[in-house]
Amino acid sequence: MRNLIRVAAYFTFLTGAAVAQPPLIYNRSIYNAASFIPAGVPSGTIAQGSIFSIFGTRLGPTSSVTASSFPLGNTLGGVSINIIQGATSMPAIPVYVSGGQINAIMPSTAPLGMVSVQVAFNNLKSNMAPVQIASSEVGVFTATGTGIGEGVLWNFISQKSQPVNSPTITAKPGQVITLWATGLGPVPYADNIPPTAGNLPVQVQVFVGGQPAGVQYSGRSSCCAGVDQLVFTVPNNAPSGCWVPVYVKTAGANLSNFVTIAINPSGATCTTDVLPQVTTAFIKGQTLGEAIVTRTTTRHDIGTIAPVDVTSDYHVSFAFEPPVTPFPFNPALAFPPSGTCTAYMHASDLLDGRAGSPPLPGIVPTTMPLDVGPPFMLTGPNGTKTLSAGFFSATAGFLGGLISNNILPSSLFLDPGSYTLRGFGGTEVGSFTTNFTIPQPLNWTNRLQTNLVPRAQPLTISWTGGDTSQVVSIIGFGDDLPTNSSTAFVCIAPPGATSFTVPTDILSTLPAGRPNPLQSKDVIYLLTLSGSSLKPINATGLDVGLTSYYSIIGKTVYWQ
Amino acid sequence: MNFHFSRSTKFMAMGICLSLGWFVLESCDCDESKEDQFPGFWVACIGNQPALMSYSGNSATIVSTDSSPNFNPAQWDCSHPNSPHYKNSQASAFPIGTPSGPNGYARKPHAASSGAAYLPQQLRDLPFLPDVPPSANPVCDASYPDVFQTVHTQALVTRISTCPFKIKVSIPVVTRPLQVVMTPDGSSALVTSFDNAVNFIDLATNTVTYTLMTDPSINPNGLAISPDGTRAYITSFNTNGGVAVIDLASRTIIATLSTNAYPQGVTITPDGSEIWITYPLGSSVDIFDTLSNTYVTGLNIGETTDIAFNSTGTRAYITSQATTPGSVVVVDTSSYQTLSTYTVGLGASDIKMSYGDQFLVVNNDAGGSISVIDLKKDAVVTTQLGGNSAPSGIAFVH
Repeated sequence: MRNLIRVAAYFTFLTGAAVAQPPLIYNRSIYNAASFIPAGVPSGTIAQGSIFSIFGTRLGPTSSVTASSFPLGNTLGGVSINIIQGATSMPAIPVYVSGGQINAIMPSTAPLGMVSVQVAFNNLKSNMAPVQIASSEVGVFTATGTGIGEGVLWNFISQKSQPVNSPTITAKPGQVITLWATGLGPVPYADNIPPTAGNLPVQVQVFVGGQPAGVQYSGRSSCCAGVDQLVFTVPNNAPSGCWVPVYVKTAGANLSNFVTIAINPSGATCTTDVLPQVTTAFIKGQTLGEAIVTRTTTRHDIGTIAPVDVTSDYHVSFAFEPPVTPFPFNPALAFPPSGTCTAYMHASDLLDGRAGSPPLPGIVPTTMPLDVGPPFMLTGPNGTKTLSAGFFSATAGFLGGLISNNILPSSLFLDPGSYTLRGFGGTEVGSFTTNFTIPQPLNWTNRLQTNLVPRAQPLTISWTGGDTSQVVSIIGFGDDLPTNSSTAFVCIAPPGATSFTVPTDILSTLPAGRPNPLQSKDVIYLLTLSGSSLKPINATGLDVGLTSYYSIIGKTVYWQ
Repeated sequence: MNFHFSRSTKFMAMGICLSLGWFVLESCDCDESKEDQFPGFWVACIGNQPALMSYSGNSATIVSTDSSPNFNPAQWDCSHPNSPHYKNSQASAFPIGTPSGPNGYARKPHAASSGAAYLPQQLRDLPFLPDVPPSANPVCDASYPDVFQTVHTQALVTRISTCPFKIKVSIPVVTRPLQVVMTPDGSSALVTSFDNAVNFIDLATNTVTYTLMTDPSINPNGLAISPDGTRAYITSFNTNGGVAVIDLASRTIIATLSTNAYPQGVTITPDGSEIWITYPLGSSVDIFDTLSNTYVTGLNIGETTDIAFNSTGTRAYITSQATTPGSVVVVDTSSYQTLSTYTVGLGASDIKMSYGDQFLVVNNDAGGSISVIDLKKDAVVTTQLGGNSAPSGIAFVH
């Protein structure tokens, strides 16, 4: 009996405590409801009149409530939100409330600059959470719901036929598209009534594959408060591809999240010019395997008195069956077309090689890997190595390294030459033997001059050498550690190019380097996929299999 | 085929195990004494003299007033109310070297005596870095930073060169100094003095250039400076408690936050958005929003002494003396939920995170030991220092 009383008292305490506890807004957990861009990167503000999301606990009723009629109220499901700056206080308009998340409209009259957001649920007030308000900051809604990947873009065929763009429902150059977003800016009328159609007085540009698109409309959707529509035409010179980057620029400065559109002049399912066989397998849900070896050479000379060169050889292999979905997107496989760039802004340290920082959404396959059997064996000029585990997971490992200044003597393995990769077969993927070549490395000719990089000026990267049919990409990172915010950009150089200029729009998405460089991780990698290393892996159980060698040449930089 | 449990699955399993453990514990029909609840040792001031205490049944008893391997009375100050429950001193590092790279914050790959070289810290957290054998002791040179330490009983702040390790200068401050922190630009140091003062030291001249005398009701102890160098936060270690917010440009107190009694440490998140307050005599950690200077939430963790954040501010590591031996509680700073706990040495006090977020160093003052938590390996190594050591203050110098 005594124990029962103690247990009952415990649950009474729990119940009482739960009722008494106020709402709690989680730290750094207020975002544009479409882009989810964190506050630490340049596009991480909340626009007047936009829909924003608040994450926390006990924020509202256990069962979610959605606003269903106009005029919208200042309270929904017992939840209200206040925007506070000094002595100024005004309500935001909730449109969706639940225990863990609130979506609300930031008042068009909200004060610019830093404000505090406070939630009240059943008269219990939450903590105040800081957020920065801007006049415009567009977030484009995505089909994946993550802020990256396929945008919510409607292909205009007729008034009655406007399917959502996807790799299998592609757009053609010249086609009219409706883009759904939030954050164009304030409206000159109340935010809680049905919006009035009409262009908003903010300069708007839409870019498709880096090409400016003609914009026919940029204003509120008449259906939904806080929701914007941008109607544009796919430029005739826009590149084809499955994941062509699209972004919105407002007031000549503020960039949205980068989403993708599938473009094919024929209107058929899209293809890509980089690794088209991988793209096809990924879209169709075919079994896909790739055995990758890579040599990385990074010069660390920001924040050090003397430069340090780090070279290391790794192997990575994977085999899986991607799920069939109308909106397939994996940042590691969804390449932008040659000659274009895309960018990802994310609330994490994207360069954190260890567990702890969440990776970009979609980058970790959601299906179980296929059983390929015992570790592969690689034979080359420096002998034979078993591609055993030891790095990240059971399918990746370290092969050798070298650090200058006599920090680590050389144990490098992946020198140029001919290689043979052997797989011994498992329950799902059969055995195979594939020969491939690692060519002489490409030379990044202006690497040492790429040091302090002004984000307001284009950045040209030049190189020589490599092999024929190589694919060169420029990948940049800007990690702002104190705010746990990162931007990564990916540019694919056109075939045969010996230089590439990263546009200022792309660079402007990066957070500025901190005065103390130990608080920033800024680096550029010149990543080259060798054409001579791309050989098919012919194994049972794999629809598409490839060997590949990537040369990665890195340089620490400082984004000014 | 191998199956791997995700981290969330592991936590869920751990939570289920803990829940089962709670029911088992609650089903125990045994009566507990205070000795069962507090099986460890603590230090109390008995007649203005420090004494090592423990429970015997429900009675607090003096174990010793003399030096022992785990207790050195000289390390404790019983000269004012509620002592010795505050940190004896605090050390902070400031890199002083040949400027290189943006704004002169440079680290050198120091040549080492063994012929190997010292790996710059900032390399440790970038991808594509091979494992590197531990470096030998580095050769001293002038690029090593200095360390600043308060000398509580002598009203001094000492500036110490770390290579060679020697005192450069002793700077007189207001009596009973407790903690010292550098401004982000490295131009100044602030020092709290329990006797109602905050000292401003010019690091170019090593002199106190200004002394902010506080109201007598404020006993400055903990100290944190915002990353932008505009604000300082000072805890008042007395029954009134409170945190004073100081505008560093005008050197005036511009706000006071109400807290529980005896707030000791104040640690600011890397982005400057929150301050976290520890209570060595209490049972919580309190969190305040720095934009609005309002209370956010509290964590139910007992006898907390210090906090370290990882570089991205996503994890807080909180030392607690509520357990025997001490512990480090890991908290998700987004949801404010406890994730895990490390067991360290007796009397866990100061804690610092190394660059690269791999190592946490913990002083265990009552146990005379230092614990190093390797977050990469998820392992703890506790080393007894020997003699009468009671470590106080940590500073990473390279």
